[in-house]
Amino acid sequence: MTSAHRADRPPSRRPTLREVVGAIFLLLQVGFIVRARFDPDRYFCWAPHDAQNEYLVEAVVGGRTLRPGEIAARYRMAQRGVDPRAIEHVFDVIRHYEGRVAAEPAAVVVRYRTNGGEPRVWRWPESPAR
Amino acid sequence: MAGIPSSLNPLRCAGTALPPNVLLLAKLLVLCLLLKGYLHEIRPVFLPFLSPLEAVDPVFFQRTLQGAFLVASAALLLNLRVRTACLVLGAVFLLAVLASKPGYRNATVYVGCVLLLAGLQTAGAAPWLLRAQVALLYLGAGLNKLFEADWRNGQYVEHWLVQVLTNPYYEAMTHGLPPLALSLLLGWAAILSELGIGAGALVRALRPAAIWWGAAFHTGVLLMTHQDFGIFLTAILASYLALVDWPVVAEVQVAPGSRYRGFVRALAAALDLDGTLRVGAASEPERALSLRAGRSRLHGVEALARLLLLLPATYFLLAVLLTGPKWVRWGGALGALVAFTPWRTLLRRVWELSPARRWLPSAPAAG
Repeated sequence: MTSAHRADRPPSRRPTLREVVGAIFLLLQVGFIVRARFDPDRYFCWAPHDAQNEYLVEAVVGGRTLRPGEIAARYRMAQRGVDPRAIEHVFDVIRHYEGRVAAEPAAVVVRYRTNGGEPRVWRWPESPAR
Repeated sequence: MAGIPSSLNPLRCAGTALPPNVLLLAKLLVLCLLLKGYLHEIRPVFLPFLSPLEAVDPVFFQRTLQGAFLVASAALLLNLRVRTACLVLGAVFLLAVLASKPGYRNATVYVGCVLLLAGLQTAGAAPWLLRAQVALLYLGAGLNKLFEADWRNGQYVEHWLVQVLTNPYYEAMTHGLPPLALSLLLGWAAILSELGIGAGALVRALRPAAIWWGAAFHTGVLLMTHQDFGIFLTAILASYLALVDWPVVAEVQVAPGSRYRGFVRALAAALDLDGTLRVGAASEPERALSLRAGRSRLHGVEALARLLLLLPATYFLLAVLLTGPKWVRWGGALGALVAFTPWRTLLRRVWELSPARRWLPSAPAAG
């Protein structure tokens, strides 16, 4: 180890390739933080615990209502719970599964409240007016 | 450890391509990931963020990442190809997140980012990429909260502590107060703390204050919520190591006959594997123990606390405590905060800045 470890980066030194890659990686995160102002999904923008969403997922496949265990297996998330990130994460998982993976599509209703506020409902398939 | 080269000792952090504080940071993250069972948090591909991952065999992907995690962890802990190991570990956790939307966790993303940036560290340079990462995390979190009406008006904190966590101490503290008064205070304290720590991480002169404030802030959140947020608490505290100017050498002076003498010598002999501590006789006999590291000069208990903070073993012990059961975590976090905060220096600085100093006849003696 050299004493250079103790100092901040000399301003005259050219950045190394590693540092350039690292800086681009950090700038990408800045982009995600800016994007979060315009997009509700809040992925990769350092938004933990921005909201407490109590939610309940109800899904019907071929006229049969799925049990909690079936919903957990289908979406790999609990049927009922509290999500401490944007509620859009819950919608996004359902949207992704039903839109791209499901062999037999489901009609899904998510009942949720954000930070103890008014109860709200989100449905899949989403209505065009949304 | 007869027969095993000392360079393979996990408690040794100097003499590699990474600065000692960055290597120690990475080792602590890996230790905590292993202790908290994050090997099993690496799951098969399911609803990935990147559509090409849908074509990969989900279980093969999982086993490959788990294998890479174990091999790279062993290499890192044994000081073998440390930068490559960090790059692999960072890639493993970022890929694990990208492979599963239901598995998305900010804490896992953070661990992946820190390990990746540790792997991109230039030998012999200050860890400015990691410092910027710490700053981005806090500034991003602070800004996101600032834009949330429920954080600004206290509704978030009130609902979280009362309805979600059912915290009886919070409910007792709010007794007799106007509605949302305490939650408003706590919400703004969190927002301003995050923005302040983020800004402090970028300014050299403010980094010590950012570290101590951050440690106090996260300990407060731990005590208030009883939650460590998975790997997040240990990861964020470990990443403060990137903010410090880690000294090459610390001069330790012990007065002859001092009660510290035997203890300090034994400690240096057993745990100072990097040879950071230079223990000698005191030049000021009235000082039982003094420590000079960089621009810091500390005495007595504060010198002892700083001496312990220069030993990687101290951090390994803290990491084990912070990943333990609830009461052990509480004790570890609170105990470390009390023991390692330079209270005398801190109070002296506060006193020096205080307007009351002008009106009172004399200042307290400097420690």
